[in-house]
Amino acid sequence: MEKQLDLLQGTLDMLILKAISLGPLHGYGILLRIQQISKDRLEIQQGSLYPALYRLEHQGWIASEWGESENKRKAKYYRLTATGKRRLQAETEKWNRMADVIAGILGTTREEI
Amino acid sequence: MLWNRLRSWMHATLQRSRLESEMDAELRFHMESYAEDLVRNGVGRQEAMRRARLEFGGIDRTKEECREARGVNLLDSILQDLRHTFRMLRKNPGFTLITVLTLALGIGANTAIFSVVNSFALRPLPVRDPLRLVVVAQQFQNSSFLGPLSYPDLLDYRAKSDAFAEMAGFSIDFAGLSTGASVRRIAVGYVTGNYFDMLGVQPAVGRLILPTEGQHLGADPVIVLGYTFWQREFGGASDMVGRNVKLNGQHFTVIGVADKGFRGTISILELDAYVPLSMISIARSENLWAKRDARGLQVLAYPKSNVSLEQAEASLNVVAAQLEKEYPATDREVKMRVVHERLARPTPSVSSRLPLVLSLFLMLAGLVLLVACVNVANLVLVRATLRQKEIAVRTALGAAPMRIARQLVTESVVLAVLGGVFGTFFGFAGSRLLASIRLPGELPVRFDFALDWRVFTFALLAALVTGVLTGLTPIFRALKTNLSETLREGGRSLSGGTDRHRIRNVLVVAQVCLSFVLLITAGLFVRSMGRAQNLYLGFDPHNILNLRMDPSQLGYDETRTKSFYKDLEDRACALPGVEFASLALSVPLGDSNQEAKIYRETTARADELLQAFYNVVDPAYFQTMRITVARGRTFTPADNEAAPRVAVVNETLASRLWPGEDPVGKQFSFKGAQGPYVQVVGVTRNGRYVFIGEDQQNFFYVPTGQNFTSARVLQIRTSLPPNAIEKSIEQQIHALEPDLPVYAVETMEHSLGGANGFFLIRMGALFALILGLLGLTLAIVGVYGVVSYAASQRTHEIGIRMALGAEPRAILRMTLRSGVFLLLLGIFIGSVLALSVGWTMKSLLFGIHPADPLTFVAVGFLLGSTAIMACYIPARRAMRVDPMVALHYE
Repeated sequence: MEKQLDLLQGTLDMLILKAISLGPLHGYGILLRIQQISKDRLEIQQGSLYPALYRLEHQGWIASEWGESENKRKAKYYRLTATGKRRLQAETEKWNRMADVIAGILGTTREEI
Repeated sequence: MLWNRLRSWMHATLQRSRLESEMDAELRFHMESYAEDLVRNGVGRQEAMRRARLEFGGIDRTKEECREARGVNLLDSILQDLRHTFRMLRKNPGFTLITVLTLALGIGANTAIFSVVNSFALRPLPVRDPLRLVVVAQQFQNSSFLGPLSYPDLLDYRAKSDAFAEMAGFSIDFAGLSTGASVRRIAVGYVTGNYFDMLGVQPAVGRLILPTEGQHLGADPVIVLGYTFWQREFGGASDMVGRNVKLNGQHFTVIGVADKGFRGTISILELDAYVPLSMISIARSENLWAKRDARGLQVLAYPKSNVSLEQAEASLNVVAAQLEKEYPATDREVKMRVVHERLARPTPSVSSRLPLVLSLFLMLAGLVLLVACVNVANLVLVRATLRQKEIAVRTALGAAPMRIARQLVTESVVLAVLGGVFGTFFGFAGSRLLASIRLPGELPVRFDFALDWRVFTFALLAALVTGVLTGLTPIFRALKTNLSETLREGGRSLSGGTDRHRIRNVLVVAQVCLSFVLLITAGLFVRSMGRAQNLYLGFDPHNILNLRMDPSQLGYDETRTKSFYKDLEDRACALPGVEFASLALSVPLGDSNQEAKIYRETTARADELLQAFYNVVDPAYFQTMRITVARGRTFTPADNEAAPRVAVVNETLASRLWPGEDPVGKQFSFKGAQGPYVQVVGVTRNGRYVFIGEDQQNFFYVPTGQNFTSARVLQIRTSLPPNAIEKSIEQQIHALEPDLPVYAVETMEHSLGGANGFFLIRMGALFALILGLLGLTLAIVGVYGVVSYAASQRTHEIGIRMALGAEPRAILRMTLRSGVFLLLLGIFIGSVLALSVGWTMKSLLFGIHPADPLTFVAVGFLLGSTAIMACYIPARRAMRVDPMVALHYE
């Protein structure tokens, strides 16, 4: 297995929003989904997920309701709200621009200066 | 967005228990799901649960972060802090009692003083738009007084200046009000018709005086009663309206009662009734209505909304220049002044001492509070030191330093608020006590130091500032706590740590220094009072009884009044125990005075005019008062209307009018350039006449025989205690005229306690003394606390020293030395501060230099000896420590 990367500061929120945008999930599901789509390359401290979820809900980007899990147990499901959707879009664009800029800077060779 | 957050917060706050159980369920679901996945991958069930918990991380920490994320935590942790604080306070009743009491004393003293400031300078009058109300006054060249206006001038200024929306005048006098059987002496405001209308005052019953009334002399004999007077004298009977009453013997109709809160427009006086100015002739000469130099009206006005005070003043001065041209005899050299009503209390003046006095006492009270703060800060610090281990443990367990600091501030603020609550009670009691002080004399002074929202706000602010101030030191300490060291020491340190010592030493120095300043101020005031009491007044105030009366209140004419007074004087002199009896217009250093401009025959220019105060007296006056005559003679019964007009001047006036010449035989006029001129027949030694603090006052006397007045004060020199003949003299008056009201019956010594006499000096000394002693007590308790705590902390060290053979005396010296050093340092810094405070209050001191050596030495000795006692007791205890006990300590 490849060495896992620590999560960059402030990116967890974005990952949560992205994970939920693909369909409502409970907390544990979100963790699995992120690990799945990142192909286990990201290390997420399990406990740190929940304060982030509560913060996002407090800001109105995600909403929650109790439902039934795959193994017939009560679980709290999160889904993206309309403002959350816009937020995810904005964050994604911002991230891509940022990534371009950083990649551009890091890729600079001596001749280009 | 905001709504979302608010809703989530409300939700979280209001449904705490549901939220908690949901959070539990959610986190449990997570861990169990993870554990199930692990089991599915072949891990044993117990091991799976263990790993799930482990990989999840700190559950409590996560929950805490979740709560914080929802915004529950702020309120939550404040509540938690409060609970913790109250538990702590309950567990330490002694600590709680001392701190709360200390703060309550400090805050109470401030609240009481502030209630006085509030009533004198802050509380607006209960009138329309009170902050825009201004006082219009006249200032003569070279005069420090801002004087009233004459009625004709008021009419001109009102008509010709366009800077004002409205302008009204009033004058205060006493009158006899008879409603059938009895005559009451009341304080009456003679007001222009627009007075109530301009001020927006509403009637409680009936109606008030209308702007259309009082336009012509003698018109509209109507009277409006003051609310308090109506309640007190007539039980608030509504049938008073429409009743016919007699005021100074003239018929008036009661038309209404003024609004409940309205007491007239001089902040510290309460008027009993109001009549139109057109009825002024019942009390005073008609001159006040018609003559430009009869200046007797206090003028209030509202400038138009877009006009500044400067513009308003300028506009009035334009009119003043016109009037000067038109009426050169009366309106020369007049400058108009416009002052905010709140800055013109109690009367407008160029250099009022009131702001200085009020700010001085606020400052002194502030110092007391500061000493209290230092005391409590120190107690809290001691406790924080004892709790250092607790705090260190909490920090080690992950509590943020800010969280601990907040806990400490919460404790201080709770203490301060408790102190504030009790302090407000103390303040309330104090201001009630202050308000019960009665001024001698006849002015209807009403101190109303009631606590209103301003006072409460002040008390609250004082409490909060106190809370933060007392909380600061422990916070400072908490944030600097060295974890491992404290834990290793087990909460006990051998030497106490230099840093901790430093803070506590600073506190001790501050306490000594502040209380030194307080005591010096008190000492200066007390010394000043002592000087004033022994001052040579120019007359002998002992064994004199004063009685005031005014037969014109019964409608007496001049002839009848004269014969009444003649008979009265004869009867008084015939009483046993009476040495002399005389009649005068006013008493020295009393509430009312007469002032005039002095014209000499040689006066060329108006700016040479001297102002002088005077009294109208009869021949026996100088003997009754024991006034020393330096030259010439005093008055005789022969100085009557038929004889040449005469006067007696004091040495100051004589030397200013005729420097280097013999004043006897010289002439002057006090009634305008045209005369009549009076001839000086005698010169008296200088005394005090108008205000106890005055210096070299111009003063002269004229005889009653040539200057008729109806209101007079009968002064009787007795060989018995003056109060013993009070009854018999009043019997004599009522034998002559049964209905005549006699008022201001008091000894001359009592009368001297009035506003112009010793009142301010005595009150100043009393206030300063109370504050000074309060400060001293708090400081001594503080110093004692610090030194004994420091000594107890060193028990271990002392034990070692003694075990190694140190002499008990050496231990005593060692413990005392640090205390004495701090004491001397505090006194030194305090002296520097006290000197600067002394210089600013120089003008309030009486015959005492602000650096009065006796005061400094005495206060230094008092403070020094009590503080050394406070150090000595714990030092002695330390000296007697049994080394074995000390070493086993802990």
